Amino acid sequence: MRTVIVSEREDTPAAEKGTFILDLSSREVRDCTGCWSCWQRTPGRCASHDLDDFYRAFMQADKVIFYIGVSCDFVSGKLKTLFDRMIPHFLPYTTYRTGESMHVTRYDHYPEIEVYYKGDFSSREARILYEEYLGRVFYHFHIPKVLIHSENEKKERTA
Amino acid sequence: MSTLIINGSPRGKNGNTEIFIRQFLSGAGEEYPVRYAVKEDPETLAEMLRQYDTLLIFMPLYVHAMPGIVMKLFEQMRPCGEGQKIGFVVQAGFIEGAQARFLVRYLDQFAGRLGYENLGTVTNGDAAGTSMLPEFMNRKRFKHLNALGAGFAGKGQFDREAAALLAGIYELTPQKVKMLEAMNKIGVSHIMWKKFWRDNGQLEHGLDRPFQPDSFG
Repeated sequence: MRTVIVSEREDTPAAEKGTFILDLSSREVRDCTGCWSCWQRTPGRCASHDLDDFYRAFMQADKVIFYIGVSCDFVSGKLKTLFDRMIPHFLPYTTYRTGESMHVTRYDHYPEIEVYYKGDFSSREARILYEEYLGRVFYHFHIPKVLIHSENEKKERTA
Repeated sequence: MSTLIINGSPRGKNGNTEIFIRQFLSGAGEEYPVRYAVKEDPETLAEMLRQYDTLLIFMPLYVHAMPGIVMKLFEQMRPCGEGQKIGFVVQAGFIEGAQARFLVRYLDQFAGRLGYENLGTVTNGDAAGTSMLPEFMNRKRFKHLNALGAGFAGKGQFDREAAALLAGIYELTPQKVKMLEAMNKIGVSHIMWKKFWRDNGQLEHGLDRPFQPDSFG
């Protein structure tokens, strides 16, 4: 089982030796510039090469585990940038087979994803939206299996 | 009454979002100042937003939400000042408005949480080609953006009719899906991409898998 960890939390559990870890709290990931190089000029590759090691590890992984926080009731700007930077893994083509517009896969296999989030929300609606948003992103990324767990105290969760 | 427009596109002045802003301003007949999220430090920009009565944030839809740089700006924004208003215009590549549903909900919650009077979120789909399309193919879109700008300049609100016309269809109808899939099948939808690849010497590489693992074991 090849696992990759994406982390932006200090309390991320220690990983087995050899696990690829993308630590968003210490590593600066360049923002997507919207240049479309990954579709037009260098298909499948981002014009910024700062994530090449992560891209390779992600595509080799069986499972990618996210330990993430909640920022202003949403995913953090850093994590959103990472989502924007995942676009090279998909084709510019659109399929409508599911009844809605979806990007077509570039690869045959994508890893499973497990999310552990922790952080405060200002309302129940905000927490629901956060989970639905994550679910939708990974659905659009053709992730075969997605699990989303809250690591908030039970009291907070039902608040 | 002071209004500030924020361009939230990572492409800054060179993207479709800028075209949306120019068409909006042209309809408004006003030269509201425009700041570019991509060029500014989020903390400094967030601080400056406090000086304006109304903020209009224009942005492209990236992965069902705001671009990373806009979220980084949101993270620096504090509860608004007395009577401040905010409104959003989102332009998207995909056709149906439902693609932006998570962002629309988030912007609503975000504006409310910071205490802004919310003018709402206007969405427009099928806009990826705006900068490349000939004038006549953008005519309707620009007309509605002009009306949106005129309505805002006149009443300080988004014109409902223009917003509805820009929003277009919320979901694809089964007939539309059939037609779009037929266009995929005969390859019409891929012509533009193949042209890009040919122009860039990439015709054989458009579907490449540069990060494909060597073997699955």
